[in-house]
Amino acid sequence: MSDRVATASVRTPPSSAPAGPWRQAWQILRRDRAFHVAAPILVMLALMAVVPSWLTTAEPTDCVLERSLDGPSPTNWFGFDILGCDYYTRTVYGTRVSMTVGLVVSFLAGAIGVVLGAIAGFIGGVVDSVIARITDVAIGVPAILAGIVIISFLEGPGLAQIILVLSVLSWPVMLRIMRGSVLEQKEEGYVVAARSSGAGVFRVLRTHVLPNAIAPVLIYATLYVGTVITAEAILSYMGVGLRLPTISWGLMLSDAASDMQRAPHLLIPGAFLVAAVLAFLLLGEALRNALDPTRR
Amino acid sequence: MGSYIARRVLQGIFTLLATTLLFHASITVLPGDPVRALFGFRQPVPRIADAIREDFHLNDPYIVQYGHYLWDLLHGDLGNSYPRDVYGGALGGIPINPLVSGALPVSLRILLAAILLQLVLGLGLGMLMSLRERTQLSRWLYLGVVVAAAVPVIVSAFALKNVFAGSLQVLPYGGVNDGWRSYVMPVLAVAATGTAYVVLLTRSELMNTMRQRYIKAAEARAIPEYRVVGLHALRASLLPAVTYVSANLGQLVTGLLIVEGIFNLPGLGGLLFNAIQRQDRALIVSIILLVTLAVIVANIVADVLYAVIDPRIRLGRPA
Repeated sequence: MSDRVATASVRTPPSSAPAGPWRQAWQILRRDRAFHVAAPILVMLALMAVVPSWLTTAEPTDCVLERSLDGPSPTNWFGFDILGCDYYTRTVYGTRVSMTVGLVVSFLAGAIGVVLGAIAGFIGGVVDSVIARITDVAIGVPAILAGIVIISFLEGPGLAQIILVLSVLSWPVMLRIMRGSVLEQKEEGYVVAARSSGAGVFRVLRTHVLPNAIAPVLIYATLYVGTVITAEAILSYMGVGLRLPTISWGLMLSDAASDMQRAPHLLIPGAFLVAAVLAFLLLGEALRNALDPTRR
Repeated sequence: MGSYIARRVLQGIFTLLATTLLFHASITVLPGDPVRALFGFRQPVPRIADAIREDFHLNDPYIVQYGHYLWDLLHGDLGNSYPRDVYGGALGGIPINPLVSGALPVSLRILLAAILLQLVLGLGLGMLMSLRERTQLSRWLYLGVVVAAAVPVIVSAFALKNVFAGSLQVLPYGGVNDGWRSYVMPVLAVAATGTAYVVLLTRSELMNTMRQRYIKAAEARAIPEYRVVGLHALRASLLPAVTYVSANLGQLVTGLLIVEGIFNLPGLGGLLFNAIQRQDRALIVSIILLVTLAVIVANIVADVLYAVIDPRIRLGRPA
C-alpha cells in the first residue's frame, strides 16, 4: 500500500525521459556512414519482402520448361531455373521467407533474453542463480547444429517450426548480455535514487533500467538477423529446412546446387543473401556507435 | 584460479549432459514408433517387433533408456545406422563407428587448415592494415574485408567453385582425388568469414594498442617499427583473435559440414548429407552429436587456457 502512494508521488514526466537519449542516438545514426550503406539495402529488401508484386510482373509459379536454365537476358535479368521459372521473380518472392525467419527469430530470442535477463539481473538471489546457471549450460550448445538434429525429426517442418526451434536455441547469448547490462545499470546512481525514493521493483525496472540496459541486446539482435538468415539457408540446403513449394533464398540455392556448374547465374540469390547479411551487420555497427556513449 | 577452472569444467559437463539429453529426447519423445519405422511399408511381425523392442530397451522407462544411451556413448559406441531401402524399411544395422572414423581424417584436415589460415592470414592482414592505416590500399582492403565478413559459407563455397573450377578450370569440382588441390577451395570457403572477422578484430585492436603509452615509449627509444609491433603490439592482439576463433568453432564446424556437402568430400559433412538423404536418423544424430560434443569440449579447454593466460578472466571480467 505504502509502495503505491510512493510511486504516485514520484511520477516522472510522461515519455520525455526516454526520448532524450534515443533521439540523440538517432541524430548520430543519421550521419553514420555504415547506416548510409545499410539503409538503402534494407529499404530494398523490405519492398521485396512486403510488396513483391510491385517489383515484378511475372508470377513465381509461371514456368516454361523449354527455357530451363537459360541464362540472363534483357527481359529476364536473372535467367531461368531448372524448371524454367523466371529467376528474378523467384528471388524477389523468396525475400519474404528469408527476412521473416531472420527478423522473427532475432525478435523472439531477444524478447526471451530481455525479459529473463532483466528479471535475473534485477531481482538477483536464487532466481538469478537458477537462470544464470541454466544459461551457462545452454549457451554451450551450438544453435545451428542442434537445430539440424531437432528439425530433422519434425515431420515436414514448416516456417513456424523452424522459427520456433531457432528461437529456442538462440536466447542464451541474448540473456547473458541483458543480464550483464542490467547488473551494470542497477548500480547506477539514478536507479539507487529511484529505489530509495520508494519506487517499486517493477516500476524501476520498466521506466529506468530497461530503457538504458536494452541497447547491447538491440545491437546484438540486429547483428544476429544476418546469422539467422544464413542459418535458414544452411538448414534448407541440408535438406532439413523448408520444403517446396515455399520460396526462400536457401531453398533456391539448394535446388540449384547440382546445376550450378552448367548455369552459374543460379548463384544470384546468394548475392542477395550477402546483401542482407551485410545490411544487418552494418546496421548493427551503426547502432553500436549511436547507442554506446563511450564510443562518441 | 582453481575454483574458476573447476566451475567452468562442471558447467561444461552439464552442457554435455544437456546436449545429449536434448538429442536423445528428440529421438525418443517425438511422435513415431521406431520399431514400426524399421519395417517400412512391410507388415511388422509381432514376435520380431517385440524382440527388437526388448533388445533396444524400448520397454524401459525413459530415464533408463537415456542411461543406456549415455553408457554406450561413454564407451565410444555410437550404435547402428539404419539406411532406408526402396520400401522405406531399414536395411539392417550398419555400425556407425567405422563410418565416422573413416570420415574423420578428411574433416580434421580441412578444419585444422582453416583454423590456421584464419589466424595467419587474419593476423597478417589485420596488422598490415592497421600499420598502413592511411593508404589507399588499406582502405580498399577494409571495404573488401567488411563485405567478406558478410558472405555466408554456402555462398562463398559456390562462388569459389564457379570461378576456380568453372571459369578458370584450375581446381577440381569436388572429391579428394587430386591431392592437395582438392582441399584448396574447401579450406578457403570454410575459413573465409572467420578470417574476415579476425582481420577486423586485429585491425581495431592494434590501432587501439598503438596509441597506448608503452608503445609510444618503445617508439621513443627508437626501437624499429617491426619490433615494436612484433614484440609488444601483436601480443596484445593475439588474445582477441584466438578468443574469436575458439568461440566461433561451432559456426566453423557448421560451415565445414556444408562445404563438404557442396564439394562432395567423404568427410563427416559428406556422410551427414548422405544420412539426411536416406533419412538415416541414427547416423544424423551421431554425426551432429559427435561434432557438437567436440565443439563443447574445445570451448571448455579454451576457456581454461585463457584463465591460465589472462588474470582478468579469472577475476570475472570478460576480456
